[in-house]
Amino acid sequence: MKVVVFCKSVPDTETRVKLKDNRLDKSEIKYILNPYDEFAVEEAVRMKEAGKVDEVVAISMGPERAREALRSALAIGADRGILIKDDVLDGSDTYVTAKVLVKALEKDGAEYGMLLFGQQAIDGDTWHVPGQVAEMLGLPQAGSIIKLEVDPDAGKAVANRLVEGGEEVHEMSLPCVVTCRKGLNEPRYPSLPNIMKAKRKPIQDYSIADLDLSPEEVGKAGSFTEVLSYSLPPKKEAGRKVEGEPEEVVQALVKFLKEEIKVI
Amino acid sequence: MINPQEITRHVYWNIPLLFKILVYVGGLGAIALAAWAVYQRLQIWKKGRDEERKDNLKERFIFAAKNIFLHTRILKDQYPGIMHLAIFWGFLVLFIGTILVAIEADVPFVHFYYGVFYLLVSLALDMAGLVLVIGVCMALYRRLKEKPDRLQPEKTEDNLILYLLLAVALTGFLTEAVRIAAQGFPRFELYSPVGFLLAIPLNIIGVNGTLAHRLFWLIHMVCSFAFIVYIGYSKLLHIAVTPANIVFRDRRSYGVVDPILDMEEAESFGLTKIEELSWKQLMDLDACMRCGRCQEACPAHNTDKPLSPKNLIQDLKEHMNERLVQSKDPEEYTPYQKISDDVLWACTTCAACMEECPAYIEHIDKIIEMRRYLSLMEGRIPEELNQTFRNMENNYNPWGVGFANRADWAEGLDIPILSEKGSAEYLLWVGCAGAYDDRYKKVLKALVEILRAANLDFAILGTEEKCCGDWARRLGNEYLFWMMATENVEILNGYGVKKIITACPHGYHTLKNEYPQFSGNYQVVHHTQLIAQLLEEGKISLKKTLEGTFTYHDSCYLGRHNHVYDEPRKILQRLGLSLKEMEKTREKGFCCGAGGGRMWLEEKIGTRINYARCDQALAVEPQGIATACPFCLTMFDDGLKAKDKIEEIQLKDIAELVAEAIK
Repeated sequence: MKVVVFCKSVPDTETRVKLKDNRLDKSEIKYILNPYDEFAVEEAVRMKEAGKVDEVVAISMGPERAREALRSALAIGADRGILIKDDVLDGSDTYVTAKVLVKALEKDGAEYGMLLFGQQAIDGDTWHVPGQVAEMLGLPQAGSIIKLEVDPDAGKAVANRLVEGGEEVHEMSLPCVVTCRKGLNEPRYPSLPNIMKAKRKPIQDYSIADLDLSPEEVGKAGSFTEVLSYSLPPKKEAGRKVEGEPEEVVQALVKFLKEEIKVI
Repeated sequence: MINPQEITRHVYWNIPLLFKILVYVGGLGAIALAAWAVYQRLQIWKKGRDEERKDNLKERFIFAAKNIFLHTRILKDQYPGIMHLAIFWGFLVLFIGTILVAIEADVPFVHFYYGVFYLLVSLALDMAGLVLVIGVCMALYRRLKEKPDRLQPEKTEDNLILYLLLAVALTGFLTEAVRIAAQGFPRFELYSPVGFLLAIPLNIIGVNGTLAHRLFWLIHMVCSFAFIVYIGYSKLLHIAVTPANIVFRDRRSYGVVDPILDMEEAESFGLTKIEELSWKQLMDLDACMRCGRCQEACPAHNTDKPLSPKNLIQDLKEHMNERLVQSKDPEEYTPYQKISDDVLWACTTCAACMEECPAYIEHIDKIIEMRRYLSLMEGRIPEELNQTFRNMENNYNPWGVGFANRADWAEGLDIPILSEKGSAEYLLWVGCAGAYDDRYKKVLKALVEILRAANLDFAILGTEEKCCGDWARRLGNEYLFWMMATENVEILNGYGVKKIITACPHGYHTLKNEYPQFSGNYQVVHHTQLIAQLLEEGKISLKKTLEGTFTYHDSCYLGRHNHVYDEPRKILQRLGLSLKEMEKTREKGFCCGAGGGRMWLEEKIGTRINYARCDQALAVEPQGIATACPFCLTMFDDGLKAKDKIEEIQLKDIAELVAEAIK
């Protein structure tokens, strides 16, 4: 059984976001494999190590730097990568992304047992793509799982989701879609031989034309949504500290609540 | 006046020819057996990797000679030092005496063993025998009565060797005494005072005949030969190995480890098979006498971690014998069966063990080799390290704060950045702690004030600086270290940097001693060295005198690794502070617990090293504790907080104290 993991190259969590001409200033950004995708790769590789999966394929859509994200997935233990890269993809929204990913899946051959995603990408934070892919393919899906049991022979998977106050258990027929989160596993620190091996593992490049898509179907042209502008959250103002005897402090606070923000 | 020719003894007096023949056969046989065993060990070491240790041979031999004949390092621990010195010199003089006697007896036409020479040699040998007996008795007292922890667990050979030595010495005296009695107490034999005095009671009880003489002589010979043979097959091997081990010691700073060559091509990393150690590293294992000084000094061992440097070396030695003597399968027998991960991660690379070891065994490089295996080959690292490594990979600092924020600490200070300034006499290497740790940012600011007061031309790299990689290297992640080091060297060499000031002993050690491995050659000074020099030269002047009693904690990477002990102390005294030393200070300083990457590991086993060190500092009742390392500072800060002493005791980096005094 082949499983496919979807990987996204995203800015590191510690990136200081800066804007330039109403776009992200990318000059000081360090890109990493989306941390949620790491859970997905780790889970897929563990399934392979347990003998339940024959091949783990990592797919990414993005600019050239997405190749590094794929290498990270390969270092954890994915077998090969697919990089969908085309200038006309710039400006694609989540719908187009899902559409392109589905095309790439078809191109690579349809016989996959499971599609694994990170539950969200830490940059756009839309949570859209896994659901859109599942819908386009008509597959069952379980989001934000913390436990996964797969039985390829019986053709089913059981996934646990954390919900308020407990867990939801889903049984799905294969193939299915799952999205992964913290708690599912602890992604490994890749060993150096695996990092080195990852450099030699194959990554197949696809352009739009390779996937039988036209430029009108992708990018801004094919998208339903468009990013109009970026803005940084307003700077936090320094708090105000009221000091003095308890009676004075309470009086000052009541005065503040009544007169300044008028909540009482 | 007696004829000097008559002041002598006939070497084989009273010994029948058969016995004489047995002596030659036995003696040569014993020597051959011991030599064969040493030769066998030599063949085992040769199975190790090649390593260049034959540079500066003259210095190597002089250094070794000092350590062997003067016991410079052994004597640092008084009782066992004197004990060993007594056994060593007693044994050596008797050995030389035996050779002289053999020459007299066996070399034709040579005759010198008479007259004044005979008297002097007799006196020297008797004294040597006495010294040997005293040394052996001191050792027996230690083993049988005192039983110090560090000598445990004992082996049969430990006491057997002592009894054998005692038997050799005592039967030697008895043989001599009986001969003197049988020869009728010649007056000149008073130059053998022990034998002479011993002869008197023996004579009274009637032990004075030729038969008794032969019996003692025979036992003396048998014990001596047994001892010679045993050199090859017990820890007595150190008589041959330890001197060689000192000659071939690593002449570099303690903490320096070698890079992995051909990182991109190598198939295995770290210690997978024992023969991947170098011949010298294998020889180290045979040089260990199990004296346990290392273990006694080890901060990990002292706080109930499973690491004992002694056991580590002994376990490796056992493994070496399994693999290279008994030729056991390397797949089935690995070093990691005897040495657990917890043992390896417990090390703070503080080099207390290496400073103590009288055999100059190098513990750190072996631990790093094994950590490399865990980190690089197996990815078997403590969970929390996963994040630390990723932080260093992605943001070039172990905390994982964004790399673009690296120069934020300097905002508003108007410090020139090298990319804008082009060049400067000094590069101030800020280090991760200076850039990101709120407490240490204050130290950097203090240092900048001092540099400004001295009108030094300096600049920083700003966001171009990356972690020096020390943590990665000590934790065995050589790949990560290699990335940090090569990228930093490229930037530094690109600007033609020549002089570097570091505010962290880890950066200091790494840049100074290890970056040359990657073509980064700079003059590196630690801030305490520079400040001491600026004070000395009058480039900064103190505006006020500080008051109070301070104790100074030696950072391992500044002290033991780089011998910077005096400068920080000189500065404190210059400031007017009175300095009160902790019991474990300077070369014997006790690690704060952060070194070797331990800063980033949970301390789950045993008690906390930093608490132990805080207790040692509090024991001298100081008003303040001075440090010169960001990580020591953090460890003390945590420790003093835990002990509820942070309000009472001033905890300061030396730069902060100086900055205060120049205002």
